[in-house]
Order: sequence, then structure tokens, then C-alpha cells
Amino acid sequence: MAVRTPLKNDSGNLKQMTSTEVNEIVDQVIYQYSINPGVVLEVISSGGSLGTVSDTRLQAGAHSTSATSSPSEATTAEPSVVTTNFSKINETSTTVDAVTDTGTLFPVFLDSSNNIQAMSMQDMLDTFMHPAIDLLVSGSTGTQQGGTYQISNSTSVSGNTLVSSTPVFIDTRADTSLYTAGSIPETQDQPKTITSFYLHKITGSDTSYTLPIYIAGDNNLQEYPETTFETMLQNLIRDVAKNSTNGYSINYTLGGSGNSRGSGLVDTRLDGSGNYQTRFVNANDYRAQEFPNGSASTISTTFLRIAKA
Amino acid sequence: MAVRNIAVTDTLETFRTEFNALAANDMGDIANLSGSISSTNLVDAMNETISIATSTAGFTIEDSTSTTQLIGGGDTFRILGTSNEIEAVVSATDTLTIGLPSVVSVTTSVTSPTLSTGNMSLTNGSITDSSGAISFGDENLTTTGTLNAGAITGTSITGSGATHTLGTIEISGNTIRSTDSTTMIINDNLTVNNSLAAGVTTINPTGANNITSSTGFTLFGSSIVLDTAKTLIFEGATANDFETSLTVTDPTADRTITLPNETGTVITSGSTDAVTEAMMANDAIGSNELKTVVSLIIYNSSGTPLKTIFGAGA
Repeated sequence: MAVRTPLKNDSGNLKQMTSTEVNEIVDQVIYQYSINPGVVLEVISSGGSLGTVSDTRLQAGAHSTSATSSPSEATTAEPSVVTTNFSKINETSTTVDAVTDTGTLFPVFLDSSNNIQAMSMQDMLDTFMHPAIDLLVSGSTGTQQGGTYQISNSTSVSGNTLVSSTPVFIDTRADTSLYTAGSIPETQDQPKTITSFYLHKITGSDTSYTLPIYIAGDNNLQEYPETTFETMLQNLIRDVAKNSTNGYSINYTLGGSGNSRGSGLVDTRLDGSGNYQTRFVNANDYRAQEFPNGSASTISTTFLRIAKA
Repeated sequence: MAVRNIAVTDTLETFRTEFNALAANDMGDIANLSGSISSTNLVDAMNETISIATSTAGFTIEDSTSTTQLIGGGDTFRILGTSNEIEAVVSATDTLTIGLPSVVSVTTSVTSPTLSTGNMSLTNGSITDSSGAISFGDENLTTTGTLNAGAITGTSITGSGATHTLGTIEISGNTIRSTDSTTMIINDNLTVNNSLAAGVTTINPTGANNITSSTGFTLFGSSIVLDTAKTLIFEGATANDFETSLTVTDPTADRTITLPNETGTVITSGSTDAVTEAMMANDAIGSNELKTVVSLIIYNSSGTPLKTIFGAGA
């Protein structure tokens, strides 16, 4: 590992950057990532590559009828669990081109002999990219995580961009208010939405930084043109995030390892054993049905997680 | 007066000295004896005188070859000269004069420390001296003919007329020239105490400017070499005690320092803030010229050097 200290133009002189200035470049790397991430999540209707999260709820049991008397509770079907699977988060299969070190592509630093040398690819990874990845995959959700994603139960989160108005997960429960004995047989599954969860992309921040020096085409030293430097940073962080083979690619999972991002996808369900109800329609028509009841309980909580891989 | 005693055994010299005090004059100092008497005491001198006196009846003559001839008493002794060589003249009462005739002829040579004459004519045209030198004393030597000489020395050589020629060297007034060449050659050192003008150039050993030219510059047709420890000195705009010398460190091999073909000021190690950017040739400064040089190498990400930058160190 070789963390380098790039050189900058200090009123016409060459000067080593401070650690603060290096960190500002790391922030710029993150910003470049935020405006064009290497790992992109999208919301699709189904079949998302991040897997499935299930929402469960109770539905009323099937009603029972009798011509002589109301069916007993024992013979009346219990409420059952309805499961809805959500596989809506998908990592796009975009191809990110690998960045190749040309020998003079990266900023220069002072070597141990006080000569000037261009940073190598490994130097760039150690100095800028890997610190940027470490910040990107942290559990925070600020601007230093720009370009990564989080889950919120709101469609509007400050500092975030809603990826899709389509929820990636909806927690539903039976709407007990809709079940009435007088309407037996009630539609068994009468859910209500408890919480909808949405995918958001964290917005980065284009903070100021100091452009470093690099070796131009004539082998002279030159301060990077801003566009040139930022394009290089963006290409490289995208490549690392997408293609790293040494543990610094960004990986999203639902319920996997890593830092959780945003709200957990909470599946809640009524925990009652059934609300037995009967209906006398006429002397030859006795009905019974068990409606969902009980208190809401959390069945599972699944987080969107981000990690290095 | 003291008594003078002379013993019979005393010498005549004792006798003389004793009695000299009695006489007004010395009666016989041996030092005053005639040179023709060879004796060294009075007795011997008196004996010698007696011998001469007693032989007047005849005598012998002898020449340089020891040939002798006896001249007896009453004989005539003839002395004859040789024509143009020597003459003898007898005159009263008892004089013989031997001399040279007016015209003297000498077959081989005349040896004489001093020769005085009115006119001297040399038949074979040669005067020599065994010492190799003939001196004319302080007399003027005049000839209307030609004076041929191996060497002429003297404090003053003068001639008549405006032009004088010594061989092919003609001296006319204050002009010396060669009559058969356009080049005068002086094989020895030449010292000129005052200005020497040569064409447009004047060499003035005593003047403030030793070499000047009427053209305003002195053009040397060949290389100028300053001898050991000599320098080229510039007085500058002001004649004072301060000059600038141009010198060299003692060369250990032939060196050439070339001044560029341009107008400007030479920079020295003593110059400060003098070298300008324009004086530096492109791509001329290497890392060795930088003080406490440091290098900055720009590597690519693989560690391959892309560029090396040199600079002066802190």
C-alpha cells in the first residue's frame, strides 16, 4: 500500500498537498461517482437481482355455511397468511470500461529521493479510490455516500433522489375494518398498505478541491485541467466500484452483509388467531368466517445493505 | 780640525773619504767616473786610464762579424760611406761626422723608433710595423687619393663636399643610403638616442609615446610576442598611477584565447552581475555550472525517467 501526497501548484511553485486537500479530492471522487455511479440500482417490476423480500399478511379464512346452525369455530377455517414477494431492486448490467495507466495519467508526487513521479494505479487506488469506496459503503447516508442508495418509506428524502415512485416493498396487513359479519362471506384478502418503501439515490456534493499536478504530453508538469482530472477520477472510481477484484467493488444486497442503508423493509402482520364471526341469513343459511385480527407484529426486517466485495 | 790618519793598509777609498772633509770638492767619487771606464774603484780606474793612454800609438778596429783590423800609430784610418746609405765627413781639427745622405736608400728595412721627414715616398706602397699598428700621433692624415683600409678607427672622420661614400654606403648631409641596394643592413646592435622615424611610424625612446604612427594606429605585420614576465599595460583615459595590465598565467602548453567577433565588454572572474541572459548560448549551461547543483527527475508511474531538471541548490 502506498498512499501518496500529490503535488499542487502553489503560486507557481510545487508543493505537497495537505491531508485535508487529499481528502477534498477523495470527496470529489465521491462526487464524480455520485453523478455517474459504477454500480446502478433500478426499480423494476419483478425479477430484481438483489433478491426477494416478502410481505405477509393475514387474510380471512374461508367462510363456512350450514343449513341448520352456525358452523362452529372449530370447523371454520382459520385466517391464513398471504405472501407477496417483492423483487424490484435490480443492479443494472452496465459495462464500465477499465482504466489503464498510461504512465503519466495520474497526479505526481515526491518520491523518497525528492524526485517527481507519476502515481501508479495502485497509488491512485490507495490514495483516492479505496478511501472513497470506504466512505461510499459506510453506514452513513450523507453526501460522502453520494451515488449510493438507501431505502426510505418516504418518496421524498432530503439530499436524495427518488429512483422510482414504485415502491420496492410494501408492507401490508389485513384491514380488519373491512371485515364485517354481515358481509360474510367477506373477501378473504382485504389488505391495507401499512408502509411503502422507496429506493433513493443519495445526492453527492461538488465540494471545492485543489487540482493536482500531472505530467502533460510534453513531459512537462502541468496542473490538471478540471475536466480532464474529474473525468479521470470518474472513470477510475466507476471502474473500481464495478470491477475491483481486490475487495473494493460496491455490492448491494437485501439482507446480506454490510452496512444497512436507510429504512429496513419491515414486514408486519396481525398476530391474532382469527376473529370468528357468524351470520344468520335465514333459517336455512347459517354462515361463519374467521377474520384477521390481532396486533401488528414484525415478521421480518430486511435492510438494503452495501458492502465492499 | 781633527787629524786625518791614513794607514798604509787603507784603501784609496778610505783615503778619499777621510780627506774629502778637507777639500771644498770631492776629490774622487766613484759615482762620477766616466761611463767609458768600466772599473769600479779608483785604482782600477787609474790603471785602466793608464792602459788607454799607453796604447795611443795604435789601435784595433772590429766589425760586427768580429773581423778586426789593427791601426798602427801614424796609419790613416779611412772611414767611407755608401752611396745613398751613409756618409762620413772629416772636418777640422779632429772631427769625423757620420750621417745619412739627403737621399737614403735602404735595401731591406729601416728600424727606427722615431722617423722624421718632410715627404715620404714609398716605392712599393706599403708601410708596415711589426707590432701591427702604425700611429700617426695627433697629426691629420690627408689624401686626395683613395684610402683602402681593413678598418678605420678614430674619433672623427671627415671629408670634403656634401656627399661621402664608404664603399656602397653613401653619406650625404644627414642621409645615409646604399648605392647598390634599397636595403641598408646593420648587422650589430643599433642604438638610437632620439626619435627614429620609419614611414608613418616613429620610435621615440625618450618620449611619452615610444611608438607612434601618423595614421593613428600602429600596424604590426607579424605576431607580437611579449617576453617572459612582460605584460600589456593600458593607461586608460587618464594618465595617472593606475593602469590595467593584461597578462597570462604561465602557460604549460600552447594556448589560444580568442576574442569573439563582436563588440562588447570582456567578463572576468572579478565581474559581478555582469553576465546577461543574451550572452548565454542556447543549450549551453550544464548542470556542472550550477552552484550546489540539485536535480529533479520526473518519472512516469513505472519509474522510468521522463525528464531531468537541474537547478542550483539551496
